[in-house]
Amino acid sequence: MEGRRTRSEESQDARIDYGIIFSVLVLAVIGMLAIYVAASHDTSTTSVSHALLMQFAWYVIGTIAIVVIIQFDAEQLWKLAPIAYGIGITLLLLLLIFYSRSYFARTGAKSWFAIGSLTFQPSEVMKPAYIMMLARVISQHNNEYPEHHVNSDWLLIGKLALWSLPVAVLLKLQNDFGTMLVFIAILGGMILVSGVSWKIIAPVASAAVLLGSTAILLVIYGRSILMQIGFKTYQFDRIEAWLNPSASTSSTSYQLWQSMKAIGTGGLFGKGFNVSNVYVPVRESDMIFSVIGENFGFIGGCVLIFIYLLLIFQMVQVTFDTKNEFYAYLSTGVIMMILFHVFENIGMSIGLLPLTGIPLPFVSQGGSALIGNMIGIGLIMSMRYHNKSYMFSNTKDFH
Amino acid sequence: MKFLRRSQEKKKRIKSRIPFRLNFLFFIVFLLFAALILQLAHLQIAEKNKFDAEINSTDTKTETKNVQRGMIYDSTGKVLVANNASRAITYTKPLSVTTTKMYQIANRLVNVADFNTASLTASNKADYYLAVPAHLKQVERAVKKQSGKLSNSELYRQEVAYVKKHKLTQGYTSKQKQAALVYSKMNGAYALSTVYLKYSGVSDQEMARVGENLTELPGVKIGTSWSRSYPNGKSVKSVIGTVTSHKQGLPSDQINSLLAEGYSRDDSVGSSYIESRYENVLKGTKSIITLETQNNKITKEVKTYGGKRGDNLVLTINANFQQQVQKIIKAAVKNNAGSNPYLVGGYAVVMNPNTGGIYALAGVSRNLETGKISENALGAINQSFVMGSVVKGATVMGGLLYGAITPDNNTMTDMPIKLKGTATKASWFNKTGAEDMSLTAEDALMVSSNSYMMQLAMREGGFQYRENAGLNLPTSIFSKLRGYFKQFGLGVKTGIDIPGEASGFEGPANQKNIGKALDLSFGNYDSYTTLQLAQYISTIANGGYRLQPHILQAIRSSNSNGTLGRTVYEFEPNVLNVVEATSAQWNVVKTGFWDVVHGTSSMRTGTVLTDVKPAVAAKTGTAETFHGSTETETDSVVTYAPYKNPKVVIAVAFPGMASGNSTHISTETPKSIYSAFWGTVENNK
Repeated sequence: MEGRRTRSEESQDARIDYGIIFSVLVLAVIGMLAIYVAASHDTSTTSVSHALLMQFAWYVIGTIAIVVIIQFDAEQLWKLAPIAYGIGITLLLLLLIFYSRSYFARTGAKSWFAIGSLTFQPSEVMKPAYIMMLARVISQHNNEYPEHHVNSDWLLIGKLALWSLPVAVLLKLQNDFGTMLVFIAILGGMILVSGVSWKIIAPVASAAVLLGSTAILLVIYGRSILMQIGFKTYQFDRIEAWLNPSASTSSTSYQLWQSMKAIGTGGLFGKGFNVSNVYVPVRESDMIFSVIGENFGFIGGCVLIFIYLLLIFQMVQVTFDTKNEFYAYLSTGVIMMILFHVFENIGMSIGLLPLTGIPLPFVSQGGSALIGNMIGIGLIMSMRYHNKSYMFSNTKDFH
Repeated sequence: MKFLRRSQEKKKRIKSRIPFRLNFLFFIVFLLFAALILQLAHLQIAEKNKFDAEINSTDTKTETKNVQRGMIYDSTGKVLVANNASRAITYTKPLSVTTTKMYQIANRLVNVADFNTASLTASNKADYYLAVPAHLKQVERAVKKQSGKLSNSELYRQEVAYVKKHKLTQGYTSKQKQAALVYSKMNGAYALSTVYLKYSGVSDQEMARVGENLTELPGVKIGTSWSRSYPNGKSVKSVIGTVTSHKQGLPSDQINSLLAEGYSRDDSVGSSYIESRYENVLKGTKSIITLETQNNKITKEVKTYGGKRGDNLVLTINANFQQQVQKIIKAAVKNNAGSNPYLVGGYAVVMNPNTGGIYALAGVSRNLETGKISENALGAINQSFVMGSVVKGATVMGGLLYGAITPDNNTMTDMPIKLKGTATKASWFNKTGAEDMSLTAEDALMVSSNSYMMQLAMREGGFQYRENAGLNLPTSIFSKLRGYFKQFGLGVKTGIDIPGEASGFEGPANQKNIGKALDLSFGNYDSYTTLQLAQYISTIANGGYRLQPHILQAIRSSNSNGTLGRTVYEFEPNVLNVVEATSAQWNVVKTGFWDVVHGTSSMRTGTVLTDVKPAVAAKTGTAETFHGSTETETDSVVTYAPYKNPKVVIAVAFPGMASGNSTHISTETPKSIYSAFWGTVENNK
C-alpha cells in the first residue's frame, strides 16, 4: 500500500472489477458457442448467423447498461430505487393490456411485449428494480430499528411482503409462475442477510421444507385431495415427469427426458463441439445446458458451474470489500437472482428439479433476461467503482 | 454516554450479522452447486451407459403408400372396370408433429392451392379454431367453468360444442375455411400414413406452386389418386358394385376394422357387391417404406416393399350377353307394363349348370307409382317371390326319394282336393272335377297338376285323402317338403360370391296353417329368389349336383404393360350337396320337364319353347299373389338346354303380372335369352 490517493488519482483499473468482467465474458463465450450448436442443429428457428448476431447485440446493449449503472453511487442508487421500482410496476401493468398476443398464444403466459420481431419481457428488468427497492427498505428499517427483536423483524418482513405484493399479483395475472419463484428466492435471500432472527427464519424455513415435501408426497399418493383444492392436472404432470422422466416420454416428460439423454450421453468429456444426436426442444434458451452437457460433458458442466461459483464468490468479495449495508443487501439480491436461475435451470435440465421456464444467466438465448442480469452485474460493479470512502477503512463492520 | 456506548456496542454486534449471514449464504450456494455436480456426475458418469443404450436403440416404423386398384374383366377379356389416375396433393404425417405445426402448414398450403370446402363441417372448423393454443385455453377455461371436472376426451368434445354454440368460427374467410378442411385431414391421419388433401383437379399451376414450396410444407407431396372408370358403360355397376371415393372415405360401419387392417381414413374401399366381396384381391398391397428412427429422428429410409397393384378379377359374366339379357328383361317389363299395372319388375339368371358360373344376372324393378323402370340386376339374388309351379320338379323328386311314388308306379287321379273347413284346391285345368284324369308323375309335371302334388304331400304326411275329411297332417310335413326343396337350393342361400343374398321367406309351419303345406307342394307358400330357381334347375340339369353359383372366374395379376398377367386363382366348381337319386328317378323329373315343352298334351305349359333349338326342357310357374286386394300372379320359368347335354340354365321371374294374363312373358323371355346365348356366348367360345 503506497498511501492515500484521491479518487481522481486512482487508476480506472483498480475501480473496475476485472474478475467479474472476466467471468461474465467467459459465460458469454460459452453461451454464444452453445447457441451456435443449438441453432445449427434445429432448422425450425431462424438462421444461425441471425441468432448469434441478435445475441451479440443484446450483449452490447447489456454492456451499455452496465456502463450507465456504474456511474451511480450508493446515494444515487438509493434515490433511484423507488423510481426503478415504479417504472417496473408500470411496465408490468401495461403488459396486462399490451401483452404480445402471439407469444401468449404460443406459451400461455402474458409476459412479453412485442414490436415487430423484437420481444421484451418486463419482469426480467423488474428483478433488479425489486432488489434495489428491497435493499433500500431493509437498510431504512435497520436504521430505524438498530436492535433486532422478533417484533421488529416481523415488522420488516411485513414491509418486504407489502412491497412484494404488487409484483406477486402482477406476475400471477401474467401466468408466469417460474419468474415468481425467482422473486421469492430473492426475497428469501435478502431476509436472511437482513439479519432477521433465526427464531423466525429457522421455523419458517423448516415449515417450507415440510410443506414442500408434503406437497410432493401428496402428488404421488393423494392426488384427489389436491384436485379438490383446485390444482390442475398439467401441474401434476410436471411433478410426475420430474419424478419419473422416462415413464411417458411421448408427452409430458418428453422435453426433460430428451435433455437427460443428451446430457447423460455426453459422459465425462462430452461428444465434442457441435455434435448433437439428441433433439431437445427449446434448447437454445431454457434447455441450453443440455447443449453444454452433451458437447463438453461432465468436465464442461463442472467448469460452467465453477464459473458461476467464482462469479458469486467475487460478488461476495465486493460486498465484504465495500462494507456498505445498502450494498450488501443489493449484492445479496443479485446473488440470489443468479443463484436461483443457475440452480433451477441446470437442476431442471438434469432432472433434479421440476421444469419451469427459467433461462441460464448470460448463456441462454434471449435479450430481456440478459439485460436483467447485466443490470445486476452493473449494480455490483458500481459498488467497487464508487468504493472510495471505505477502501482503507480498517473496521470490519458494515456502515 | 452510557446509553450511546451501549447502543453503539449493540449496533456493532447486530451489524456483524451481515458477514456471517453472507458467508452462510455463500455456503448455501456452495451446497446447491455441489448438489448439481453430484447429480451431473450421476447422469454423465454413473448412468452414461444406460443413456447411450437408450439413444442407440433404434425403432422401426413403416410408412405406406397407395397402389392402383385391380381391374375387372368379363369372361371374354373385355374391361368392365378400370382406373382413372388423377394428380393429387397428399400428406404423409411425420413423426411427432404438433398441432400448431400442422395448423401452420395448412395455412401455407391454402395459399398455393385451392381446396373445395363442400365437405367442411362445423366440427372441422372448431378443430381448426382450437388448434390455436390461446383459443384452446380460453375455451377450456369457459368449459371448465360450466361443467367442472371432465375426462380429456369429454372435455375436448365439449370444447368443440362450445365453439359451435358461440359461433366462434363465424366470419371465417374462404382461405380459413380451406385451411380448416386441410387441417382436419392432416389431423385425422395417423403418423406416417398418407392421406389425400386434394384428390383430383390439381392444376398445373397449383402443382408448380406446391412443388416450389415443398420445403415449407413438410409432409406434403404431389401424388396420384385413383378413381374407378367404366369403359363399357356404367350399367355393370349394378352387379359389380361401387367403391367409396376418397371424399367419402371408409364406410363408417367398418371403419375400425379397416383402420386396423392398415387402411387410411380416405382410402377407397369396395362398398358393395363384387367390389366389396373381392376387396382383398382388388386393393393390392401398399408399398412399404421402413423407417429406422433414433430419438424420433428418421435415420434410414428403406423401401422394403415396392407395393403391388391389386390383382384383376375375371368374371364369368359375358358383358355383351349380360347387356342383351338386361335389354330383354327391360323390354319385357316395359312392353307388358301397360296391361299389367302391378308388374313390379323382372329378373333373370343365366348360369352354367356344369360349373355354377353366372353368364348373366339381369333385372329391372318398376316403380308402380311413377312407372319408372330402373336397373336392378341384384334383385335376382336379393329379392324373393312366391314362384308357383316351377318347384314341382323338387316336389316330385321328394315323393320319389320318400317312396310315396316310384319311377314305375306313380299314377294318381287329378281331382279337386276338398277338405273340411277349407276352400277347394284344384289344378288349373280341373277346377270343378269335370276333368278328372289319371296322371303319371311325368304327366303331372307336363300339365302342371296341383292336385297330384297335394296328394303326394298328403302321402308323405301319412294322410289318406278322402273327400270332405278333415286334414290330418303332422307339422313335420313342412320340414319334410322343405328338406327336399333345400337339396335343390330352394329356401337356402345359394352361396353366390356376391354379398347381400336373400334366402327367401318361409311361411309359418304350425297346425293352424297345416293346410298351407298343400300350397307349399306346388310352390304357392314359401318365397324364393330367382337365383335359387337357377340353382334348382341347374341341379336337375346336371343330375343332382347343387353347385355354388359364382361370378368370379379367375384372379389374375397384371403384366407390367397393364395387360392381364398370370392366373393367381381359378374358381373350381364347388358342389354344395348332391341329391342322391337313381337315374330312373331323375328320368321321371327330366322327362316331365321335357314334356312341358315337347309333350303330346295340348295342356302342356311350355309350348312357346317347343321350337327353340337346341331343344330345351322347362317348367313354368304361376303363383297366385295379391297386390292389395287385387289378384295378381308371379310368372316364372326354369329351363335348361340342350336337353341331352345341358350347357346353360335360365331362370326368370316376373312378379305382379295380371291374374290370368295370356302374355307368355315367362316363356317368351327365355326364348329370347336362348337366342342371345347361342348367338353370343357359345359362338365366342
